[in-house]
Amino acid sequence: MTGSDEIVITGAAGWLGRNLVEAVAPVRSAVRVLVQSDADASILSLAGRSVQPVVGDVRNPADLDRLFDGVTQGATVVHAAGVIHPAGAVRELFDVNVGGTSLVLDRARRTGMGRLVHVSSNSPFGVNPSCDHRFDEASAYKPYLAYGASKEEAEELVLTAARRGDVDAVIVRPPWFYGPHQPARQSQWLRAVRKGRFPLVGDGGNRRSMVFTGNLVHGILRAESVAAAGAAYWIADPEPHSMLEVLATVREAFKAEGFEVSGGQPRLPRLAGVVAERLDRGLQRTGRYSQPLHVIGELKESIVCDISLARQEIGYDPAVDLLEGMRASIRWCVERGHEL
Amino acid sequence: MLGYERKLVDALSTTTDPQERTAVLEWVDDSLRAMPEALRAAVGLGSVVLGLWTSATGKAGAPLVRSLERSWLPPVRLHLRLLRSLVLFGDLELASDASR
Amino acid sequence: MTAFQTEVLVVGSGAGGATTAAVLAEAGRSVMVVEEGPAVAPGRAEPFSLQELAGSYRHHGCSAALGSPPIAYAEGCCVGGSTEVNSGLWNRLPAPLAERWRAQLQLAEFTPAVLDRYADRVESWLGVSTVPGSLPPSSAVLERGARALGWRHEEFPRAFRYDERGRGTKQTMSRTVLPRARAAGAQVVAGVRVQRLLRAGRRVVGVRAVRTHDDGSAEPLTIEADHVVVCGGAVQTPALLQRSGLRHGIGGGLKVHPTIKVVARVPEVLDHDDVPMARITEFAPAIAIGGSASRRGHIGLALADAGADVSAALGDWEHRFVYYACIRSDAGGRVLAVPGLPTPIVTYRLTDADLSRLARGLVHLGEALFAAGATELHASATGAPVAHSVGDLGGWWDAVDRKRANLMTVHLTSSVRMGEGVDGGVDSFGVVRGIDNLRVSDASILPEAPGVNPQAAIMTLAARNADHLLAAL
Repeated sequence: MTGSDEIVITGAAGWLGRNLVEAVAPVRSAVRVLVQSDADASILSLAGRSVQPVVGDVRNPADLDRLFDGVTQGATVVHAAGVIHPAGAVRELFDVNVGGTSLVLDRARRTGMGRLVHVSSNSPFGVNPSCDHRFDEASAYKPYLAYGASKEEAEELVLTAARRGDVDAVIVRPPWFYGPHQPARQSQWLRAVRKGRFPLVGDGGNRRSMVFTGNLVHGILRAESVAAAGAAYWIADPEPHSMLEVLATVREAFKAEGFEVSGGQPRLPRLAGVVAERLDRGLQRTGRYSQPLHVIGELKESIVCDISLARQEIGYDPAVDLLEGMRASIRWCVERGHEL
Repeated sequence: MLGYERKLVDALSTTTDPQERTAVLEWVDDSLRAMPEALRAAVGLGSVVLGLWTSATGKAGAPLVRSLERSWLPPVRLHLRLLRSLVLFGDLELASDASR
Repeated sequence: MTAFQTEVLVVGSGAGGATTAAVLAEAGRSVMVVEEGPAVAPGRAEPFSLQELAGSYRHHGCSAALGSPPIAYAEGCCVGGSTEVNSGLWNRLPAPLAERWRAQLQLAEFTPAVLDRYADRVESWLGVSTVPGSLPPSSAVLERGARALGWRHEEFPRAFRYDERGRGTKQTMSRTVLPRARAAGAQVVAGVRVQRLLRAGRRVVGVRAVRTHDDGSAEPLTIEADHVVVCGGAVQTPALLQRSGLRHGIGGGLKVHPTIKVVARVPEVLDHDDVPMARITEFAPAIAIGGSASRRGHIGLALADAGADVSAALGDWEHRFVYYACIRSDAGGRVLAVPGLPTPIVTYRLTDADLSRLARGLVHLGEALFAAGATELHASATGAPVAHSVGDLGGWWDAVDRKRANLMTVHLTSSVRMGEGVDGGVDSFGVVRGIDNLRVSDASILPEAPGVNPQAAIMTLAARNADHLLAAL
């Protein structure tokens, strides 16, 4: 089975979405994209004449009807719409990540769509129980807080649809991503690292898998064309890095791009991360969300995955490593005049 | 049944037939009596407080119901909703009985 | 103080109690069933009517679990229990769920073969059947909507028997199992409220109760028994056990099926005397979609819950019907007996995931109703936008929140869970931990809310537990 000529993308104006639209617009006859505003629609239209924006909300059945209206049967769907950091209330995570997924799956079935690639996350699996553990496709669900729970519930809907033969669906599980089209929070993070202001929590030896947007797009396209229905794959950069290495690599990337790096390497004791996590948990139970608290709570953890199955089964072959990917991110920011 | 509760039932009930109105009042009275004690106590407390407030402001009838609906205090709205549900069900079910 | 004696005392005459009594009596044991509520002649009041609420329910059908939002619920309180007032919908315990319980809780004798054997037995006592002929219009709406969208749907059978003219009679406990128990020698005494279990060490020796006579007088009673089986339902059973000093694993873990309603207006005139037997199962087990009692009063109440102009909308009430979406919730609740108060306090916590699931169910329900030709939908959340087309459903996500959602449940379970782990209040067969001769055999023992009507599961387990008790006698 190869990729279809037409593709429907939800979350198209998001970080991953824009990278994906850029990659597919030149080579598909129709790229039907769901965006939340006219401004996003205009921006995405610049990617090519094949881009057909539909302005709407992934939770609104009528907007989804318009999204799929007139799309040729057998087209691919990439469901990338999701909320990672809700604006204030935890509830939004479930309405969008689970509710939106349920509506998209149902539309995909009813309108005779072909392959559906669902963009999931590491969050349904929690954190590695030991420092040399890697998540793989046999790992059990152990969701990390509300975001993890919402992404787990979404995966269950997708897997049920595949198992029942309703939708030819596959799942990709990317960890922390980076790359072009990054949101303001990522630029702020890069700037903080360059100025030596972003702290390590604990000794910085905890490891992370990350995924460059280009690698993720490649992984999604491989899953689109090759994967078997109902399969799920971890999609990440070739190698994981310790947090210490990540920050050092970012600084190295800045230097290579002609920036000055300054400051030292501040550290927070691991206990600070533990307290932040407890507070995050408590706050989420009351339905509220604090992004800084969540981020600090998660910084101490190891989240590493094994991409061997994706390599073996769907020919996933990530070309970009962390240094190169960070350099590409920095260049992208520079090109657009973003302050770094 | 407390005085304020009678007043509210009177304001809420939409039937014009006096026999039906009595039947609805009895239904609400029975229901309040049958309510779980803690819930009845909470409703009763609300009724006492609201009773004092309405005596002070002199509100009654439809204007009373409107100001209760618009209250920014959730317990007040909940209190109204509970009594309104009883009256509404009574109005509808007893009226349709009478017309059979 | 009047005193009675019996071999087995069954507290409560509903699905669990009646079944327990019939199994034991038919095996030759001496059984007394005590029921707090009155004996109500079946068919005296119209189903779901105000008269039925007043005569056959506890609290006139008006109670609520406290929480944000509160969840309204009702319990039957009469001879035959909630089976006298429920829809009669019959669903055996889903096999995957039973298997999960068996594995996670190390339940003995919980294989499909065992459960089916007992389900067959209780079904033969009742008569379970689907509707002869075509479904009534209110059910046809759901079927039509589901078909249009390609969604899985089913007609659920009910504990009903049909005569040659196709008229159905609900096979309640008072019509079927209780007469069977009486015929085998069981005594069924109405108007008796058990206040406390009387204990001596590791045994229960009997109960302290009060009997209310027809003239309103109250007579204190003591009933001595060799074995006591408590079947008061998921709220009354843990309350009684707590009042009797039994607390471990008792009262916590309550589960309900949080339910949100929609009043739909359709072009055709609908029937209003029964609960639909059509269900949309596309989103099971997380979400179930069906229809609810829709007499004029119910439609009025649901419209009021939506914040609608009730009298205006009731003008064409015959074209309207109340449908619902209910969920299996992540979180749970608690039943707490309060010293000095006859009625326990019930609390229930819903997570954000639960509220979102309710909203999702509501939106899917809206989709089905529009696909069936509905023209106007009112959702039971104060201030929710009235929906006239699928696009309006997008506004329902935000309307279902803790302050505005008006929720109810008709099923309460799991407050005295069975299991061989440390948590549960009873073992695989309902035997209360730490007491040799006390059992629970009602909805309380189900480890989770099953996502379907629980009567079949309750009766199946009660029959199985009664056989286990027989082996011990």
